[in-house]
Amino acid sequence: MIDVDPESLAVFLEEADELIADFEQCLLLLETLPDDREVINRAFRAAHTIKGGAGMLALNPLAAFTHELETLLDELRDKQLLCTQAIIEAMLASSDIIKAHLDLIRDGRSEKTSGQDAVLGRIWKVRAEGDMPPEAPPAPSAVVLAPGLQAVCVASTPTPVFQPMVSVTPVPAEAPAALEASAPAAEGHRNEAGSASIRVSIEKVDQLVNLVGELSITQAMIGELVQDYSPGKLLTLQESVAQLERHCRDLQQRVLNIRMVPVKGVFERFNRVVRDVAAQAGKQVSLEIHGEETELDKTVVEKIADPLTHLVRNAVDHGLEPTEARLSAGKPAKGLLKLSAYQKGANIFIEVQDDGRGLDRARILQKGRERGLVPEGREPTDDQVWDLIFQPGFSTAEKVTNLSGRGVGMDVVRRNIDDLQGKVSITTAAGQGTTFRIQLPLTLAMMDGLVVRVGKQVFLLPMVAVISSFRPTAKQLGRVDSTEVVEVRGVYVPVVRLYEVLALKQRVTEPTNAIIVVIDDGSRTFGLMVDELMGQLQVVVKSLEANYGRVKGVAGATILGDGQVALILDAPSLLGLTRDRGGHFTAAPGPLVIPNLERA
Amino acid sequence: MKKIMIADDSAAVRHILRTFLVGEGYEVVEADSGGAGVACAQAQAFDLIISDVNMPGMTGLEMIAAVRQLPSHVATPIFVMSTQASGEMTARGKEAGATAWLTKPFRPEALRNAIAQWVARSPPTVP
Repeated sequence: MIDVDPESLAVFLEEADELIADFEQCLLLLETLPDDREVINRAFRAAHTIKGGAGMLALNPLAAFTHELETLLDELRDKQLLCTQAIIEAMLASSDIIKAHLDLIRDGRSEKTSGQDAVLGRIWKVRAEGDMPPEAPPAPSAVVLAPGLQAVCVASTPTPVFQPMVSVTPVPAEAPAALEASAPAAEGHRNEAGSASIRVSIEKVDQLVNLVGELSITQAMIGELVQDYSPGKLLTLQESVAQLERHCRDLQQRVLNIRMVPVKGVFERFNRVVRDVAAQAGKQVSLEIHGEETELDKTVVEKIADPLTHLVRNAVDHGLEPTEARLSAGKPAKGLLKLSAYQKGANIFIEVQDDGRGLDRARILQKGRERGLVPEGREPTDDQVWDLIFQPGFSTAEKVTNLSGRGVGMDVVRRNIDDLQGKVSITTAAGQGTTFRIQLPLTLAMMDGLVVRVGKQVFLLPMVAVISSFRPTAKQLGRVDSTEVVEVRGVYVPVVRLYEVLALKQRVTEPTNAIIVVIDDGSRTFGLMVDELMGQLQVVVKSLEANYGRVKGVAGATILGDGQVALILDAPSLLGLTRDRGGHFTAAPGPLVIPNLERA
Repeated sequence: MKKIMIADDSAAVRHILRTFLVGEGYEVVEADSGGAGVACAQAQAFDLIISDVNMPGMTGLEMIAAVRQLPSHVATPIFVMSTQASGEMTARGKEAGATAWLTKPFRPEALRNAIAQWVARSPPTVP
């Protein structure tokens, strides 16, 4: 081993994660194309590379285990073995062991994993059972010198000698010195090794380098102009500053873009999840994946994996009916699970769609009443009923299976998605299937906002929710019942006076002297009345929740160019705030002045 | 400063070697494939090349054979790193033009010794 510095370890872990995902992909391909040499080669290389890296970092238990897997793959490659289902199963089990090893290493431990011996036994068994001639003699553990070629190092290779007759044999620990050295080094760096790094394509880096180059040129130009300034040069200076602005914005976008990774990495693992869950549940399921190239913030991608896994498992285990039930309902025996991702505006949507039985409204409602979540005599809407399944401990599963039905999960799913500032919605039709749609922000870090002023305070409205803005004429204003409305392109929409919602003192009270900003979140449209529009800004979003808890109507805060703190309003929810005035919105609205926000 | 090229498809292995070699005071250039290795060697002269064998596309041994054809690298020491160390493999390495064989995994001292032994011997790089 060479120095186990935390950075190398992090690089190794990240690479190993990718390799193991690729390895599993290969195994699934081999199930349909057992003789594909290219796929076997790819799988071999993945195992080989993991082993190599593990060896160099003296992660010997992992290296030793992967060596056994590599040997098996080598025999497949050399056609000494035929790729049977048993072999694929054994390799899938090995893949799980390697993942367990990687998790242990992330925890700072380099040791054998439980269950590893059993899997080794399986590997040896499938190798021994192969109808091809037995394996080649074990590789020599010392270096053989070729004449004239000098071996510079003799290291203890992790090569446990193949013992086909012993089903479970612990792999001998080798290179104790190296092992000792690796353990403490690995320990202290657990966290850094987690997700501390990100892989960026050379292309993206080159674009940045280019842009920074241009930025310096513009800066030099401005520097020169300023140094030897005369009023006649004002126009040139203004042009240069405008160029500088363009470059800055471009740079900002591209730097953010570095954080964007395709959801492919997350989606790919579901081939395996669906396969395993379907096998355990005794169902036939085909998985369709769409839009895997859709890009999302790396943090979001990492955090969406768990809730998504839960939804996928649920869909296979609960959503899809057993084969007989499907056939008698006139559906194809094979259930269909669709996983798709797409971008719409500044949001990413991820959908998990099954063609199963759909949610059972009556049963969910009954459970809800039993648990006192729905008062007797009240008829909730469909959406309210579906919402019940996100309550903690809520499960309608009749039998608790190994897979799901323990009542934990959906509430966690919702919480995870909430944490990402996302939303989850359900569309379902009895007998036809269920779709879970997760809406996520493109990135958590930046936002395009419309800057508005009410009284002395400045607020930001997320640009995505803004349709248009205008100063209304008296003719456009009106009332429907007690609600103030304004006409927007022939349609009347309710008016929400921002100063009322936020109980601000100074304000323009006459709508014809104010500005109406039309807000639409996809389901509702309304006009938000503000004093003045101040412009459009791309801002860095700072969370308020750490210090102030969640404030209804407020999505976060940001710091403006002049150092002033401005709240970012969750515009669509403002309509709900006025409506709920008498009921749910009990907290005194009060002026939302946030004292002394720390500049982060 | 002496310049070393590392050719390996594993970013982890490259990073480990780079960390060590930079610490030893060498300048390091990385290539993630055989093809990239040849391209690097065409562009600049190295004092040492360390290459993996098993890489997608052009293998390490094919890369070494190609690099040896370059006038700039006729005498450059080239180490092969591999988990395999059979006589047949090392013979093929020699045939391709490798100078020495490192069996993975190896200790830093081993690499240090090998560099001391081979890089010092080679004629200085033409600037």
